[in-house]
Amino acid sequence: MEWISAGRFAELSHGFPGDLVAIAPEVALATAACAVLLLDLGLGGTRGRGGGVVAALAWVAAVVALHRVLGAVWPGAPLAAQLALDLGGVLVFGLMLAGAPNGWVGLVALVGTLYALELVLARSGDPAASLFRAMLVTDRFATFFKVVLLLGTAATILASSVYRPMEDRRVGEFHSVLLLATMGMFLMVGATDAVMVYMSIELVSIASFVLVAWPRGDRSAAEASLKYIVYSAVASGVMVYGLSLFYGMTGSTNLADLTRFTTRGQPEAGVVAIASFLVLAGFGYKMAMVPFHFWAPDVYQGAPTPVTAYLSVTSKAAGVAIFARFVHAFTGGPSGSLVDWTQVVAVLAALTMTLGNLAALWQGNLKRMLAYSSVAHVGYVLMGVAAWDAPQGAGLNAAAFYLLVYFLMNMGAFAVVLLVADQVGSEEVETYRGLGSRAPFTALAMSVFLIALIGLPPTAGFVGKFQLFAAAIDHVNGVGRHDLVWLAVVAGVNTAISVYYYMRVVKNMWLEHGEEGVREPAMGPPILGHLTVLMLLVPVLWLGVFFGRVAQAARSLSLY
Amino acid sequence: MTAADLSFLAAAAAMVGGAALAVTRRSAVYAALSVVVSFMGVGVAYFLLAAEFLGIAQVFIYAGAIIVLFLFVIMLLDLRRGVPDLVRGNDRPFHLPALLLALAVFLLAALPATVCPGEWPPLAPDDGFGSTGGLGRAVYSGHTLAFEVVGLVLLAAVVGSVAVAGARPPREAPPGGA
Repeated sequence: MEWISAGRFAELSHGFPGDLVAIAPEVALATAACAVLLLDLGLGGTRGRGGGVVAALAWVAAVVALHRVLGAVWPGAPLAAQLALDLGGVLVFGLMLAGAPNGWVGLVALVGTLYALELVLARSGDPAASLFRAMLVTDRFATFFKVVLLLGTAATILASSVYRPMEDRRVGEFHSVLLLATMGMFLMVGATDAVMVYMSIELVSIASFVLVAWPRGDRSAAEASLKYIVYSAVASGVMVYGLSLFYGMTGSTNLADLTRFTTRGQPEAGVVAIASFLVLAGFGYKMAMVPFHFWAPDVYQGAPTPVTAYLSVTSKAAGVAIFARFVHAFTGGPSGSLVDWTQVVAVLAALTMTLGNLAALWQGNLKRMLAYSSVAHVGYVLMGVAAWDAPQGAGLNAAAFYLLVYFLMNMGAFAVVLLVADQVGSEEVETYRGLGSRAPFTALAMSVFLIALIGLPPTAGFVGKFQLFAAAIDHVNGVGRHDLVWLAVVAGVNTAISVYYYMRVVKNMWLEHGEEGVREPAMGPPILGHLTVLMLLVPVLWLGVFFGRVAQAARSLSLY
Repeated sequence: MTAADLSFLAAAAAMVGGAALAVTRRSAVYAALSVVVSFMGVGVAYFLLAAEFLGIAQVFIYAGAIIVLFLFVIMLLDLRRGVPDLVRGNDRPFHLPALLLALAVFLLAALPATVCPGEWPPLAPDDGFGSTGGLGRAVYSGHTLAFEVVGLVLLAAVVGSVAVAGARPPREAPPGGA
């Protein structure tokens, strides 16, 4: 038997042990996914003693994890803040346990999410690094998106714990697949290799199909999932074709190597340009960007509400991140790229926001309306991506910050939809008539979320949109012209259009009365649901005024 | 025209013809068998590219095992008469534009081959590209992480399909959301 030396081992393993430490958050998510699955398999379905012990342990672990997240965000936080957060954690996690017999399963998933969040935050100061032979990178850009993804996942776990159709025995599988989807998105935001790009998108897609099809015996969910699968198969087929052209042309799957071939004057630049448009299909479908958005309305409407919220926030953020990284790779060296990516992305952004907003005007179902609104919001975010080459990365930073804000306000709006549907059994805009008198808090929260989605002060939506507009207006092209002002004008007109359909809901809630004779139940005791809404409402208002620190964190998100 | 060119044309015809039959046959059994023809064509193409391992895997796993599983499923579900149209969408007017769009994308995708026919780097460099050894080195050294992610993809798929399609519980309360 031959033993290999330590040096030979390091050479053979390509520095893997060290790289594994660098992807600790991803490993934590995958481990949590397996742990949830196994614990649920062993103890699920009963209120047995084993479940009780695990529930208690998960309760403690969740509070500890939350405490450590605070420690990572705010080192040296005053004792009062720490205690307040701990007590809040005890309360919220206790409510999760009390709400459903299998509440502890969600709590275990939440522990994994919070632990991964702590790992991401603890490593946020590390220098950017390329891992696993340039398969993945960890940089500040990826880190910011990972935080958004984990917050979105945590909010989804909370929302699904109050979503009644979810309360069946498959809750372990649900959370396991949810965590795997999040892990796939982690890989997406850091992928710098064509193979990794494809595998991560597939992981996210397959997990998403499963989540969309979750409610048993629900035809609309099954249909939504099937449409999603067919659409995704076409989009990823086109994308893989594009990636194979890259490989055929360059002989490398690495994104960094592609840059050399995009420069104007290169003989390969024409083929590479065509290939990059094909690759765009895969990213565009993940972001629900026009013209790859057709799946979004049907899937968002048919999927269970927590899953809709999850997809609309996280899948979109990951898609934008990978798209931005791709566009960034096409800088094309000193003489510039053959394709003017700024204008290409700008045209796509203008189309996306206009189509999304116009289609949203006609929707009677609130989930479908929010689906089109989410298409429109991708358009706004792409405004920042179009300005990707701005000094200090102002465009990408604005896009990243806006996605964080979008997570808060869109997740909040879906949480309200979930609560109202739980009580009234309908998601139609008409059911929101008179909600202001029946359930003042819910209606007030919904109003704030919708106002934030329009982008009006004093909400976070205004701050986010302002930065995107500023990035577009300030953008200067190679010859010193402000070439994105037209896009800002289009976005302004679109914002004005969007006021109509968002305000229609607000008007229904406050100025209309519910139909006579139909006594809907008052919005009653689901405390956890209201707490979830509150946890999203406070940051939306807080970031509308005190956005300095978070906006600062979103600045200088350098790409590797 | 060399023998390799002729073989490629035959394989390509099998691929395209089999795929076209697969989506146009109403009977699920015929559709599945047409896919076998298409997969065989892909296998031949791999062999022509000197990728024997992939070619054999293609024939054994895809044309063999997976289609057999498909046929089992079709037999168990008794779909001999084809799947009835249960859900009729209101998207009929979009069929033609969608078809034209797909055609346009396809032509765009075929363009590179005509744009620069002479500039493609050689498909099979000397370092054993496509051979079993070369494939093994690529998968287990440079792309190990992607290979490991495949495991997670399969985990998500298995867990998801068991959970979504598994045995139904006795009777559940109707979903709260509409």
